[in-house]
Amino acid sequence: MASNKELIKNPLNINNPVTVQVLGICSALAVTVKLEPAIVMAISVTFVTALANLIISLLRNTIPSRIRIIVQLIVVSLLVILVDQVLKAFMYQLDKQLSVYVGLIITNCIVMGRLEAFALGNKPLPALLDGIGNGAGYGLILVIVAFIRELFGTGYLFNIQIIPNCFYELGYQNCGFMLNPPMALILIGIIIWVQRSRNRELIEK
Amino acid sequence: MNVQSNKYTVIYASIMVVAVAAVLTLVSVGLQPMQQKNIDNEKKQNILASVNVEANLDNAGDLYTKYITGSFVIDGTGNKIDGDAFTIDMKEVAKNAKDLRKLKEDGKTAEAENLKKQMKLPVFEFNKDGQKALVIPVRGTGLWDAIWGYVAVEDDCNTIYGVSFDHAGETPGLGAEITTPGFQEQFKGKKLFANGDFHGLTVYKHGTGAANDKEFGIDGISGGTITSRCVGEMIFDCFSGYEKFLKSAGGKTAYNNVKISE
Repeated sequence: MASNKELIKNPLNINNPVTVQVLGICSALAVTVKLEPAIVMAISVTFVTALANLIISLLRNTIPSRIRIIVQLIVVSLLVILVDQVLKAFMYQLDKQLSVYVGLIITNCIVMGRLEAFALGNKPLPALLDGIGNGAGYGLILVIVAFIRELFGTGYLFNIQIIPNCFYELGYQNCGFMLNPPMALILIGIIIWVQRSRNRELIEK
Repeated sequence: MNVQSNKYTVIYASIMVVAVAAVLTLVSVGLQPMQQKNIDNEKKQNILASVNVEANLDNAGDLYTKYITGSFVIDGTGNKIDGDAFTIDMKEVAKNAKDLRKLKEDGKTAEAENLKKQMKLPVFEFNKDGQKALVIPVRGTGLWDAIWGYVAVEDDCNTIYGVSFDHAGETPGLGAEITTPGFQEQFKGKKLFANGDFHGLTVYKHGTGAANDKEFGIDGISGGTITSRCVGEMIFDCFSGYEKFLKSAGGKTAYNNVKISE
């Protein structure tokens, strides 16, 4: 049984949902063109995984096993719709940028995966921590990829110019390829490569 | 209690669904005013974009009050009618516009006239330091989904002052390019009427003759020809309802005082 600290720490590194379990890749490709939507997406997913884990864990002894997937789906949809409604009311512009991907958190494999694998069989506190850890692990990769893509693709971060004009005068150019989805895949590949070369035990035999 | 029994399962599912529905209803009702405000501000932002006023969601409301000095509703025969231009359902306008063209094509003149009388068409008046324009909302079908926008017409009721377009689901990089300044800039200065008759715009496949058609020609987007043509068609359809109004208002600087026919 993993300690509470490990529940948070492992998904950030040796059991990362994106780079090790290879889940949630689709939205990682789609919403990482800019840093701001990536951060909002990361927070949204963390909110959903954490609370869904907590709620399912609280209900775990009352859920009839034949309809457990449906119950999980209802809880996840409830949380996702809440997130979407709040974004529409307070962060309308970002909600438009994230478009369908907020709704698609429902089908994000990480969420259902954690509910089935962890929340159904564990007490509320570890379940909550596991949810936060996995959401954060997903968010971490999203933010790293978005940071690199926005910085080298546009020279801006949060609409503030980072790469100074003198660079451009010396002949530096933004890498337009960074803004295309394939680059997100390549970046995730590089992250996986770096991670595995540092953690030898992750390399499959 | 037997957690696996049928009775328990059914009751459990029912309570769950009702509880979740109640929570969502509460949230939805509670956040409704704020969401509606965002949607309204976005609409104001788009209207302002067609008259070349840049606004963001925060200042769109103020700029709108400043520059959009009035709005009114007309029917297809050019008469002013009661109604709030801002809240008119553009889906209905788009449907009527399509039906009208079909009736005209089929030669059903009487029915077309009848439909015109039932149409409710919004008009917004823009006035910035004496520069005047009429903003007319348009809506139609693109290649995949709805497209819409605003077309501002100068006070000769013939020359296009500016446009702004948006879409629900055109292909990014191809059809979706109708939202870019590059495509929208070329509408400025184009004409709607030829020799006093409604003409509309002609959208050419990219690089095939728009340059020779200075008055009505629009150069389509490379790879987005169908969506570009849909924009032309949308403007043609939606403006046909305004034809009489624009004709009677044309050439008069103070269109507010236009003598409404009949």
